[in-house]
Amino acid sequence: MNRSALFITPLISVLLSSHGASAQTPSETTAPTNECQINPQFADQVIPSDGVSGNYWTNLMDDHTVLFTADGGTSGRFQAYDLKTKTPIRLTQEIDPFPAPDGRRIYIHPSPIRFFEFDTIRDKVEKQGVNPDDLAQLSYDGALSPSDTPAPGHSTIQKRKNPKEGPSFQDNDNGIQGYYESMASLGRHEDKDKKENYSDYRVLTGEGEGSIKDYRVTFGANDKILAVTPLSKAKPLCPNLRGNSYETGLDFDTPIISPKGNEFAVVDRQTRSTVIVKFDAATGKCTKEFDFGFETGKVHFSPDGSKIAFHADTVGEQNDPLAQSNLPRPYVYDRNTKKLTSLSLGDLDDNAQGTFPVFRKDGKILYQRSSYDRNTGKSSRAWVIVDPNKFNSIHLTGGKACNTDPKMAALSELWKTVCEGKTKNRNFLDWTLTVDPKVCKSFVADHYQDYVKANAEAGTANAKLISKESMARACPTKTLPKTGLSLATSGAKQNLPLTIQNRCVICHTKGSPHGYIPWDNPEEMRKMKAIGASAQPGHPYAGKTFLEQVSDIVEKNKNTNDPGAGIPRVPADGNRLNGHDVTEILDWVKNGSFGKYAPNATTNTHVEEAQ
Amino acid sequence: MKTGYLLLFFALTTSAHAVENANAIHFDDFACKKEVQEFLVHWEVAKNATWSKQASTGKVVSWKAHGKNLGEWITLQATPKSVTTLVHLLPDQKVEQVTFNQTDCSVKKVSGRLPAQVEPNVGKKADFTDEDLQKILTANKNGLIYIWSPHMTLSVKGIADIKKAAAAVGMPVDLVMDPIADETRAQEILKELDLPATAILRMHSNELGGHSVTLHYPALMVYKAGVLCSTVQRGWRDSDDYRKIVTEIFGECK
Repeated sequence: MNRSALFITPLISVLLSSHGASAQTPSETTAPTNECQINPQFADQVIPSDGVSGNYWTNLMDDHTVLFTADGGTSGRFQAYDLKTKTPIRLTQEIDPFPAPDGRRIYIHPSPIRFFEFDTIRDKVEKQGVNPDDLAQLSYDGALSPSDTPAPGHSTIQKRKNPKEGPSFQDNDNGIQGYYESMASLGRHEDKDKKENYSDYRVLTGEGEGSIKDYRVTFGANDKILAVTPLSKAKPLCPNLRGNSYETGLDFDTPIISPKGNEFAVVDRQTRSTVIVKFDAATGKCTKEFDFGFETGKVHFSPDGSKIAFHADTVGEQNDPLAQSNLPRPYVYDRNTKKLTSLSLGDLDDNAQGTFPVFRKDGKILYQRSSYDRNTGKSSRAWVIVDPNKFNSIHLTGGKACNTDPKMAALSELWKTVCEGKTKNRNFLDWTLTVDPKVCKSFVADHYQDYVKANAEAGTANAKLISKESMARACPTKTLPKTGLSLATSGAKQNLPLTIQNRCVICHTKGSPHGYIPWDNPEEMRKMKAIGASAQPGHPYAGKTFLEQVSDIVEKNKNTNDPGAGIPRVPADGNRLNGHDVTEILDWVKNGSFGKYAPNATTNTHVEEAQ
Repeated sequence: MKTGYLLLFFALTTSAHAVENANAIHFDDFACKKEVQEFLVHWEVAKNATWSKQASTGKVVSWKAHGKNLGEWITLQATPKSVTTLVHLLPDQKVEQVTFNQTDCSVKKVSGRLPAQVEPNVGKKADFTDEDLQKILTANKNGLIYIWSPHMTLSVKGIADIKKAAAAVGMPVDLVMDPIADETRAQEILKELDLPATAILRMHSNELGGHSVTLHYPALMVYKAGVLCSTVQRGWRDSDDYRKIVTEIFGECK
């Protein structure tokens, strides 16, 4: 394996593409200015949610602090998550709460539609000790009957006699029953002089044929609901679109209304494509406005409706055939520029997915990262918050537009060089930005000379090299919470145990005659295997089998401080190669599960010219 | 080589840009179409195969079509001017990738293997694979596959509903679980609902995965005469709606 050759080209490219940012000198002391640098913000925005199992249906309250969700089981448990305190919140014993899009601190639950005061519910559960199960049964102090579909001012307005009595209102109108509900804002009105304080909402439910109904909710102080008034009759969803292909009226799956209430997105089961449908409230007619051409998961509109976030299959994201996965990845689509951007951080592999992205008011996007480790049986959940604008610039396959800080770029290329055996085709910038700070700095200390050496070999020795100190300063400054990050590379997907996927020891282990175990280079592997038989007496591997050589190497690295043995684990996770890891590696070797890395492998992965 | 195959094969219109309002491939102006055709014929891709567009970033757009056998899929990647890559995914996790040189249409083939269906916790079956799916299709001929997740409340609620609907239409229903579900939560629900152990086999079927059943839970697929119908119904319905949907999908299934 020619490590330097692989290093030189990108390094030169990096140095040449600094876009006016001159190569750093050993004496420079400025902090990295990488436009793509998302750390430390990124480190703050990965929020493990392991205390809450699951949570696929997500929505954000307007203050960005609470994530609505529903847990699994036959009934929901946690229904919200406080991102500030990192604690789950129990609300009513209902599922899929949907917050008001206009900032009011209320939410609705489906089937039947009920309006809840978030703070009241939270207080009752957390401060008053009310059982959420009881809240669901006893909290309705206003109920609308099926015939209550008048214009504003009609006598069936449901007024709260005593605001302290209960936290919710319920609509028993069968026309708006059903799950997969969402809510749009038709206007928020606050006029103290006129003593007006109300919001108009459009509620869409997706069950059955789907339906839409408008409401006016009148508020008191602190978003206390004083009255709920229907503004329209419940209308079936898009009867004009239900021709022969909509015989049952059930061909729309999981619709979501836009924040302004004039559009909704839905999966059209007939065409297996997600479409955006424009809705005319006056006529009830619908027009297909946009067709993605592919299926997505539930979508989420940005506050102004110009962008749409969703998750979808990942096929086609890379040219690497081994990069395919059946697990969804998060995307954002800009309706103005017509550009689709992947929001994957590079930490999603065959065992991890990113789902249900939703916009915050500030344009950032939150999604859930979920993973399951097939080897340990452990699962992991985290919420990830990203700025799609910045994220676009470090997209794994589209990073060319990024004005990469040379320190950061050189550091990431150094990672790539040292770990190249299992990181082929990987953009290391994202990893560099998110790796544990201590590991990163130790890595620079240990391997800076590789950077110097590679430049010398490349004939760029006279160029102004980045200093070791400067490179170390490019490391992240905050520890990334444990998120189950693992290397998602073509090499790492070759049936490798988790230990090997996660530990750089396989490619730069000290003590090997080769300096590392060249798993991805059959020729080097053959040489290594042959050493045992050909080495002269006294050679550390004389007479040893390949397995014994590997055993020596991994045993030597057991509990080592070499950061490479722990990459990319964080210290809290045991940043060292432990006994279990050694056993796992050796078992893997003994079982002969080398795949293309086998020492005698010929062409499990091969290249050939077609005839 | 079958002359004209490609034109028949891709008698579709629209351009191949990042994300547009159509779900089709326009091959007439593509370079290398002859070479592409050779591979598609060699892999015995049906002439009337449906090519579904995939979420794609940048100028390279992907489409996917079902291959000849269960669990066999072909992904085609193309720029507006040319097919760049074909990826052939086989049921046994083998992958062939063919890359077309945009200058002279010469090809390079790379073959490899996706991660094998490793069974964690040796001795315990954990995955629902294409082999499992084939056995069900062969044994039952007609029936339902219900893909659920312990983390999607409605998909759990729907287990009872789909069972009731299946009974109403006289078909068996098999449950397949979210591949990355939390094991503890899955076991809790298994016990709570008194489900068979097979209900928490994790979805690791190329065939089902190719139908994007992991996009939302629950997802429902119907099979007829031992063949999966291509329609996927997403989201919970009550038993009566499920019965109507199953009847409709079954009736339209070719």
